[in-house]
Amino acid sequence: MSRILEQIGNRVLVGISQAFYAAGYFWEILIETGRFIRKRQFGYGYRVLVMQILFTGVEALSVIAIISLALGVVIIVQGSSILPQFGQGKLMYTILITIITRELGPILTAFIIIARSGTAIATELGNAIVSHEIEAYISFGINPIAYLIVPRFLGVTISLVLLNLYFNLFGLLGSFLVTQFISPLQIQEYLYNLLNTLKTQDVISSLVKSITFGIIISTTATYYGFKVERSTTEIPQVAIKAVGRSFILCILADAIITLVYYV
Amino acid sequence: MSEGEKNGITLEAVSLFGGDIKILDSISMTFPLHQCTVVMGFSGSGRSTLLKVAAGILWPNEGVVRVNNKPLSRMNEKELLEFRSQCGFAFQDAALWSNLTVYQNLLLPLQFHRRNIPIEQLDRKIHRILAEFDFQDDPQFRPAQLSAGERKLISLLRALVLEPSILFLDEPTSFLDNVTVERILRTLKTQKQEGKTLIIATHSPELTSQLADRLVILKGGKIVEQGLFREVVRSKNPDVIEVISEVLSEAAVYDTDILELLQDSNTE
Repeated sequence: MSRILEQIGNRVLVGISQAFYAAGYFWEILIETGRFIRKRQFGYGYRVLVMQILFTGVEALSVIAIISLALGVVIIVQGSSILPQFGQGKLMYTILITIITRELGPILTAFIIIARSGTAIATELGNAIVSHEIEAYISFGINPIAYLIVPRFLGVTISLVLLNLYFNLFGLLGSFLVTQFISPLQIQEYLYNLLNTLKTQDVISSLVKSITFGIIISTTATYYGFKVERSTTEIPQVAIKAVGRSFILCILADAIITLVYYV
Repeated sequence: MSEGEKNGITLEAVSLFGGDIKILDSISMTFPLHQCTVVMGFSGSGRSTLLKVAAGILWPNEGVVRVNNKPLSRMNEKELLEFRSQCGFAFQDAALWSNLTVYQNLLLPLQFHRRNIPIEQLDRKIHRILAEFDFQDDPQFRPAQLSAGERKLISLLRALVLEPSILFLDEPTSFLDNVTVERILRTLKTQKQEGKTLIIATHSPELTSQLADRLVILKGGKIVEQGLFREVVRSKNPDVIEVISEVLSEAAVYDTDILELLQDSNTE
């Protein structure tokens, strides 16, 4: 019995120390991000930032477009066929805003970025550790957090916000155009009702969510990437952990932000 | 503490663990400035780790590393950066930045530490150093496109590009052809004549016999002998004799100087 208690105690202590370590790591990222923005560090960091936005943001555009378009079409088609039967035709706009802007826009974009960039970042950093590239940065006094993590942190977060806006654009307007072939709606009526339903609170909540998810994904992926110690076999393990933890943390953050804004 | 120990990199009871294994075990020694210290030992004896700890790349679990009598752990960010700008480290496995080209690998340290120098000047410097070492391939190649020897050479050039006063070289001549080894040896001799501090982990008798002022023999993470080169190779310590003879037998090229010294030490 005492052995079991000892093991539980050890696990709790390890968990607490890891939580403190992660908090310290996040704090370090924030400090270096502040310096990066304030000092306009030399060109290499900006190059990495641009590459990160290109990889995370631009290259994900087609996937986001397809998913948001399909989702928007499904909501419009289902809503316009079912809701009028109950005299609730205008509820379609509320559902559109709730699903696309408030909820699925930020979270689906986050899931896509976790799958694409989260794994890539964790794997890339893990490889850099195994091949001693991180040690090479340190040997020249180049802070790996400042020059590898901060551009990824900013790149992923900026990309996520932009991709969320793009998701909304395609989900709300692109899907309207596709729906014209199936169940025509008046554009003026559609836009009027949509904008009437959309509240500032919805836009802010959506933005806050995408910024939070960007921070979570980039921090988690880089944190686990740095957890690799010596062997290449650790790399897929940390990539899986980075993905799993990012999903959990994003869903939890989603729930908390929704509670804060709408309860 | 002697003047030489004040002006150098000193390790005091330094230990470093890798999991449960002690990679370095209570190492106490000094790498004096303006001298060449060669670290010898079997593969896995902790030579690379010793160099990384002395260069402040790895932090020891126990003990203190001092640079000119100031503990590395107590240096502020500016002092640490100043120390690192004076160091050049060539890694055993090259450790080139794989997502950068050869040119960018050489440019990045320069851009970081020489921010006020115009890019054209840095560009000329990189092309000059590549030409000096007769680098045949395109500088726009990524490290993965190079041979092991070329990667090693670029790693060495990256360590040299800032013209540091302390050079840490981890097996600088492995995988390289004889012509390149000769060229590197000439460069290192010049560096030594200029008063640079060389700290080299090597199996090469050629490099050791021609450069070493001091010799450190490592075995199982512990120092078994250290001191002036000629004294250490004459040591009666069986561990020293074992390490030197094994290291020499591992090497493809036997050098007469070091063999003669070793023979002398055995017959005395």
